[in-house]
Amino acid sequence: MYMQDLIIDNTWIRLLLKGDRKTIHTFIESYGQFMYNVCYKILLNTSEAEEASQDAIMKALKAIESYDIRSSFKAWCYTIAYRTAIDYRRKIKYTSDISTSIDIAHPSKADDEVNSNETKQNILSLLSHLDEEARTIVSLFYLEEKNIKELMEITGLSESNIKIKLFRARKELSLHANKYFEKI
Amino acid sequence: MEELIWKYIDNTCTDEERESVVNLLNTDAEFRKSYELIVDLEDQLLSVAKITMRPDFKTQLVQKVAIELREQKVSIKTNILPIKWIIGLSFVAVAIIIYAVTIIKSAEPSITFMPSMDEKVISMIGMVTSGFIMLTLLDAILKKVQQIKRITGLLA
Repeated sequence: MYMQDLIIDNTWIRLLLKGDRKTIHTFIESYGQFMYNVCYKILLNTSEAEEASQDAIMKALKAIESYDIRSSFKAWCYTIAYRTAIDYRRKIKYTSDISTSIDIAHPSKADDEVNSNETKQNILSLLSHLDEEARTIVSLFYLEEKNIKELMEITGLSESNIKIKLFRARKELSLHANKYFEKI
Repeated sequence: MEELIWKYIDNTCTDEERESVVNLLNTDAEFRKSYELIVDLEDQLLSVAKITMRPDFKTQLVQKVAIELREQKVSIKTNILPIKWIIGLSFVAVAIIIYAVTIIKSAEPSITFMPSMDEKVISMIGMVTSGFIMLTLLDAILKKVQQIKRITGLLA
């Protein structure tokens, strides 16, 4: 089920809190998956993303009663996932050379849709040249199928701000792209 | 130049910009090279846009969430002041007071300088009611404090 098909209202939250199996499944399929993606794009490692996203999901469930029904549930989930991943990264004292910890051991487990593990490895290494914010903006842009409005809602940034950050990030990526694509 | 290429790729450029990209692609070798690099980059970025969870991790997560929600339900029940008990005990207290006052009233001769029994009953009921309201408010405040603690703990 896609997130846009889900209506997050009090009934849905009540069902989730009651432990309704179907609601839990849809929550994990849509928002859990989204939170996992946010964590993964920050940590660039399957097992770390799994740990961080699990932690973020539990935090979201514990705080779900404080969620304001009028605001975007996706944005709320994004904030929790983003902060949890950043905290997690800080906690495990991520090395400055992020490329050494990029998950290359089990890439096929994490993503069946990516044709080449090498391609994935290269693009993730390339993404590691960006700072966390830029990486998140670029990742969300593609994750949300280039929907700037959705991005504005999730990040709380203005359209022009997103466009500027996105352009800078892409520019940075294209500067490094040559050496990575030569390997492909 | 680069901004124009990205706009072209994102399909957010104007008709004039689109035309100029097409012209530059046909005439400018440097522009064409940049364009090809960016198209390649775009293709790679799209390919890793969505990372899917491992199926066994997803299953494990569903189970953990179910367990967490079960535990959460229990902790909510035990952490919050038992409103039902407060309401029930208040009713019982009021009933006992009314009953006691009625007995005393029927047993004692009326004393003119003392406030009437009705007034006593009303003031007692008032005290019990205000006590009940205060407890309810306290319960609501405690709930709010718990919520704030959770949020600040989360956002710290």
